[in-house]
Amino acid sequence: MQTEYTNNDFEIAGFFASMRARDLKRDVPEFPVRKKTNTMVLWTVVSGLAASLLLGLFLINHQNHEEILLRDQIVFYLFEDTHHSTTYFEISAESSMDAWEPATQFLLEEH
Amino acid sequence: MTKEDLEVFLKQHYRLSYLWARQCCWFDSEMAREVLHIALLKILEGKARFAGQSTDKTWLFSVIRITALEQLRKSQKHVDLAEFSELNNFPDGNEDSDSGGFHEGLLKKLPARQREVLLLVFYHDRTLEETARILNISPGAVSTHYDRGKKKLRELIEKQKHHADRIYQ
Repeated sequence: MQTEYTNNDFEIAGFFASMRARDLKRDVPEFPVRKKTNTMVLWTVVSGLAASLLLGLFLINHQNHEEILLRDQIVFYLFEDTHHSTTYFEISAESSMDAWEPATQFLLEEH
Repeated sequence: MTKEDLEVFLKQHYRLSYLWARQCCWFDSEMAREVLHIALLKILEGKARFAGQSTDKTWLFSVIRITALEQLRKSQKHVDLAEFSELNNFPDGNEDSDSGGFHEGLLKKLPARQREVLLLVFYHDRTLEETARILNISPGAVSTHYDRGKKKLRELIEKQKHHADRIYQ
């Protein structure tokens, strides 16, 4: 419901009416237009960037990966042929329990 | 209200919204532009929502006013209302014609609450109840500011007329 004016209010109402008339000539800025972003394009770009980043990280990690041995191992096997009075040795990169011979083996053989 | 409906509604009331924003910013056009932009963003991004407790235009005006107060506080242009009503140190209303001259000059001489009430009732055709909602004060307080504002403005208009008569004589 509109506010009712008394007789004394007409002067005030006239004041505001002339102010309104004056404001009709006033420049009003344009309504701000929202930029409509294409969400499909945006998602494609974001997904593409994420995939490229993951692929890059994977490739970098893969190239740097080396098999690191705990230690380099070379075993010298020393054999003594008592029958021919000769000594020979073998060099191997692998150790094997099969080739191991106790140092007191000759005692067992002689008895 | 969908986003599209909201946009249509804002466009419909855009001109009056800008003028109200300007009136809330002491008739500063540049600040009004900024305030209105922020207020529209608040609404479109859902930070300010219409709860249906008042008419949609009343709600819109309320959002604009709150945003204007925030911006005035930020820019430190906020003048204490009690102090302002005592000062009355604005020009006599014959300043820059682009800024509204006579009308705005006289309105600036009113205390802020009285000016807001008179603008909402006489300029924007709001009822006293709607004005109370927009200003977030009681209807009783609105009524008091309304009566005092009218009395003060009438005196100012008379004073201005008297001043003009003396110049032309």
